[in-house]
Amino acid sequence: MLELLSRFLPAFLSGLVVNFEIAICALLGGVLLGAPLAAARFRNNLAATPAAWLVAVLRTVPTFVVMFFLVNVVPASFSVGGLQFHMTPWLAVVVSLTLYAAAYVSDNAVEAMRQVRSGSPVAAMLFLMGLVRAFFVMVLSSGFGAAVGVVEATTITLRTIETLPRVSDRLLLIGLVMVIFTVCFQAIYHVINHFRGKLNRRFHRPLQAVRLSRTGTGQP
Amino acid sequence: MRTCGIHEPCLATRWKAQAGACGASFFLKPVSVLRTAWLRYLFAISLALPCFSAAGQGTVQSPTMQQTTQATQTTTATKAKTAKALPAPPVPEAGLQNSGSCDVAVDALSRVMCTKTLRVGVRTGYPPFAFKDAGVLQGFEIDLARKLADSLGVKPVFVVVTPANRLALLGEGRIDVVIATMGHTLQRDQEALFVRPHYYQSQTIVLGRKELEIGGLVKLRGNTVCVTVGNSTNAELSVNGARLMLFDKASRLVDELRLGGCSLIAQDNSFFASYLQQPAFAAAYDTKFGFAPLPWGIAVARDIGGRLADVLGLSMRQLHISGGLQALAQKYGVNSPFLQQQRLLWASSRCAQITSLTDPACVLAPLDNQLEPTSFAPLVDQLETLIHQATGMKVTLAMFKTWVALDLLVEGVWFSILLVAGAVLATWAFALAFGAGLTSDKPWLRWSMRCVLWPMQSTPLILLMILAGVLVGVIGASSPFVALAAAVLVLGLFNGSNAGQAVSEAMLALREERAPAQPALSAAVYRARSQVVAFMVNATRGSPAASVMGVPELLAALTDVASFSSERITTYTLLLVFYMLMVAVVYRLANLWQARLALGGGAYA
Repeated sequence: MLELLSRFLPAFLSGLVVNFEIAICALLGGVLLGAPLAAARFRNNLAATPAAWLVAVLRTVPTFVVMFFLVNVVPASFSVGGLQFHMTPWLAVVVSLTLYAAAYVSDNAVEAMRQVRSGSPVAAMLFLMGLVRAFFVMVLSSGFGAAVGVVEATTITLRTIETLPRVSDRLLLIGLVMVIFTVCFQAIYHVINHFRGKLNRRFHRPLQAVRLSRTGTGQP
Repeated sequence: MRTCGIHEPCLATRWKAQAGACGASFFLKPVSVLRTAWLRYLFAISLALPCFSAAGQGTVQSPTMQQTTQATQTTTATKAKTAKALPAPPVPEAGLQNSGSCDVAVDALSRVMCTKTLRVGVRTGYPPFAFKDAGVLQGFEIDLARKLADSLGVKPVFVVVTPANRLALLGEGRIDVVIATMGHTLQRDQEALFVRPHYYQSQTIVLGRKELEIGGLVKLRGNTVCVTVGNSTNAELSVNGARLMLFDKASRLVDELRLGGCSLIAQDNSFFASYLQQPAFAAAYDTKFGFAPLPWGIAVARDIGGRLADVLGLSMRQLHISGGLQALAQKYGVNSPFLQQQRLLWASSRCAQITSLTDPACVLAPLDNQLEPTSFAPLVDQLETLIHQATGMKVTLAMFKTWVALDLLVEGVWFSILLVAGAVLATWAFALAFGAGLTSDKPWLRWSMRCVLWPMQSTPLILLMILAGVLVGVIGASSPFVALAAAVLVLGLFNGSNAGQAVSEAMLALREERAPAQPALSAAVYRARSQVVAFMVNATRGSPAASVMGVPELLAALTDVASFSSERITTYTLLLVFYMLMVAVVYRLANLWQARLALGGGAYA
């Protein structure tokens, strides 16, 4: 098992790099697509209704199925605006997560803009924290790529598991990977929550206290 | 050897000459099995007859003869016109020079003998069977074609064909035989005449890394196998519970195997022959098992190739008995125990008889790989045409055309509905459980819940599915319903734990606001209702991931259908629409639930 781990861990870490690459690209795509949609919805102009409809459709998109759809239906090579693209499994995962991220960005950006307009700048900062959290959620979701052949951390884990003849070894390896993920991601979530709490204490609560003193009511 | 002359002085002389010229070359070599003189004589006469016929039509005709043969010439002219509609393959000059004296429409054998050329449709780029080396065609099939041409005493002329056009070219009379990695199936029997005995037998093999232990087709359940789209044997893999990953080209399978994207790949063993000859590849990968044996045959035109097939059949039998085919296989590294079996078979007393070429005990039956069509398949075809005419879109509803596909579709829809319903309910139940547990007065319960919550929040869903799959395997359950129950549990835990955390945070906020009163759990659920709904919808969206642990839901079902029907665009579009509708329905129902909670908000809040 130790010999296996010495081979597995470097490969697993290189796979994790792929997960981060996918999440970065998907988040960038999500911001590029979601921000204009949020702006359109927020301004309540002519574009607001179609933008709201599009976001509603994006919310219903099942990432896992979209990935299969892109891999199987979109031509292997296609061009957009003169640029040549190849629909690889990697790109399929990025695009499917981009759709999810676009809906998330749009919803949260609209909420942040409303809060800013009502005089709560902390909401904008919380929006950024939300983006960081969404990024890590997408790092985990990029594990879906294993189902279409993207060689990332989950795929490497699965391929290693398949070579282990004993069930106990398989469970041990899955357990080890879960521990790695849990320790890393819980640490990240705690850091995010810490900053969120800090922001909340620094801006939100004093602001709330001022409002309460003005309105004289206990209900938020 | 004589050509079919057009200046013979009399018919009798011509008949005699043709009998000698056309019959002798193939009569003397392979017909040694016809031991008695009278049998040889009858056989020579029967083979010579078409040559007489060809010679007669090739001669300078009297006006009377021209009238009587007019109908035949019209038919020939019509065929020639049809042939002109397609680009012509390269035709040998020698063949063209001599073809003026032979009618190619009457009999393929006479055409071959009269033009002294055997036009063979062969493939390229399929080592070790047929490939080009420094611009020269080589390979097992190329050498086989040369040997057969030698046995007829004619010159082989190679015409490069593809799997798509090989039978069409044969039917149009542009080639005499096809020796092009073609499996003999019952369906192809309707389009061409296959020479018996066969020259090779392939099978679909499952290949993977040496460390993997796969016992056989029945042990494949739950494993992912990468396959090419349109392979008819994919249906057999999916029926045995394998998860299929689809690729367009066979070469991509090997790439994915090397890169780690696939751990098992399935394809015809002839395709892997050249790879397995590479020491590095053979050291890392091996064949797990094979299935669906498919005999490969030489094909001739169905209408005019009967006699050519008979003669080639005799030559083929001789090549088996003499070990000539085995020697060729050895030369090109085609590892096939089939050829050894055939050698022994044809050398046996039973198969040494002249009638053995039609004896089921000696010749192999063609493979029947056609799936049973549904009773309403013609209606589906009409519907497709109607849609195409009305919208211009080409829609292929493959899932309604065969019973296997329809069964998979119906099963997939049911499992998807059960999976989504189960996942939503489980998410709600776990949200309540985690909400209560994480805010419990008992520290051990709170910590227990946290110990479950943290890995659920930090592990990819797909890995949790695999873990559940391994655990299901440990208890020895292989039923799809057990897999479904496990998937529901995973989806419920994954989403319910997160929703439960939101409920617990709401509960803590309520306690802070209403201290020292103890708010009810329902009040916390009411406050966190939008997050609970979000995770219910998330459970629906994530439910197709259950396909990785062997749940036969719609994604798995339609992937299987696409794998053997070659149709993916309509199939995956319908799949996407189905799951988007499912998400929309759950979203709508969850909003109704939220609205109902809001109506009774006073009681909860």
